[in-house]
Amino acid sequence: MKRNNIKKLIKFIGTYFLIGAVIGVIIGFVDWDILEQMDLLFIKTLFVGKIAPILSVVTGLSGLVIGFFIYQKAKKDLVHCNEDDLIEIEKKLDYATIFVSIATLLPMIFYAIFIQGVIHNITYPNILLLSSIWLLICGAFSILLQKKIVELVKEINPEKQGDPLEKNFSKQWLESCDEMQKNLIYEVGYRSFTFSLSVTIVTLVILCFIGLIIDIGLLPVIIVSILLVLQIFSYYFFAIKLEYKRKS
Amino acid sequence: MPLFNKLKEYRAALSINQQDFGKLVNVSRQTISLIERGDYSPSVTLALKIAKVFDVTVEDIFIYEEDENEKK
Repeated sequence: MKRNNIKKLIKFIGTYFLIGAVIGVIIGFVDWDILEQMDLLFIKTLFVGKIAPILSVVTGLSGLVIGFFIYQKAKKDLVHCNEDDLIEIEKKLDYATIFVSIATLLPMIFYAIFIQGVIHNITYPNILLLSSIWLLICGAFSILLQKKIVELVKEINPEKQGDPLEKNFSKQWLESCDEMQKNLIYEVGYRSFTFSLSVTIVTLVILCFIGLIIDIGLLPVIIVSILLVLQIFSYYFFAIKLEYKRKS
Repeated sequence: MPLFNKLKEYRAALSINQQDFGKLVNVSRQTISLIERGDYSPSVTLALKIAKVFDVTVEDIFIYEEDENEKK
């Protein structure tokens, strides 16, 4: 058993040394002069000034349209369905929720990128008003569609409680869930936590390597580091809190 | 974990739908559906509640069969 552990440890460390060596060789061969000569500013101007507002509209619109289409399909299927079909209809509504989330988040991200262009005078300020109005419209329609989806879920599952427009919606929804639904929520929560933790660590490592090539400043690394610390400490904070709550 | 069950048959014998049966045992229609499909193993409390509705034992409704990995 001990020999197996030592072998596993050597394999684990060896793999990481190998990955590090490969990345080191790649960076070593990077031609610094070529990077300086590349007109990276042109790419930044094009993306931030022109492409970002377009992407804001495209992602918002496509998310809303697809989400609405799936919602309508689920609503239509609900009219003439039997008990066994309800699981497929609920799955459709889950997908609709994903697209509504895309329609909410991505336009916001591209808008934030676009704002940077306005601040650094590399975009058209008159597009700023249009982009701001679009963001508000997109957000409003996303919320309305999300409310419609929740209402349809409540029609299928009448025991569910909560209004997405209310502040304590998550708490009400969770309290109206039974043992199976709560188990599912907790399992999903844990899996998404471990996944996002891995992604955050990888992002931090990538930012460190990018920082060796381009001057990205200290802020991205600091922000990602803070997120990493918050993720880890919040997990242990709630774990200890819930454990003591159970014991008392 | 393999946990086969005859819940659907017992429920059909009572002519009760998943929604109404769920209300009897204080769970959602979704949970009853997943139990019948074998995609969810109920807690001990829920299994006892279900058995009580039909006035049978838990073993009459839920059948546990060891799979090959557990036998080793």
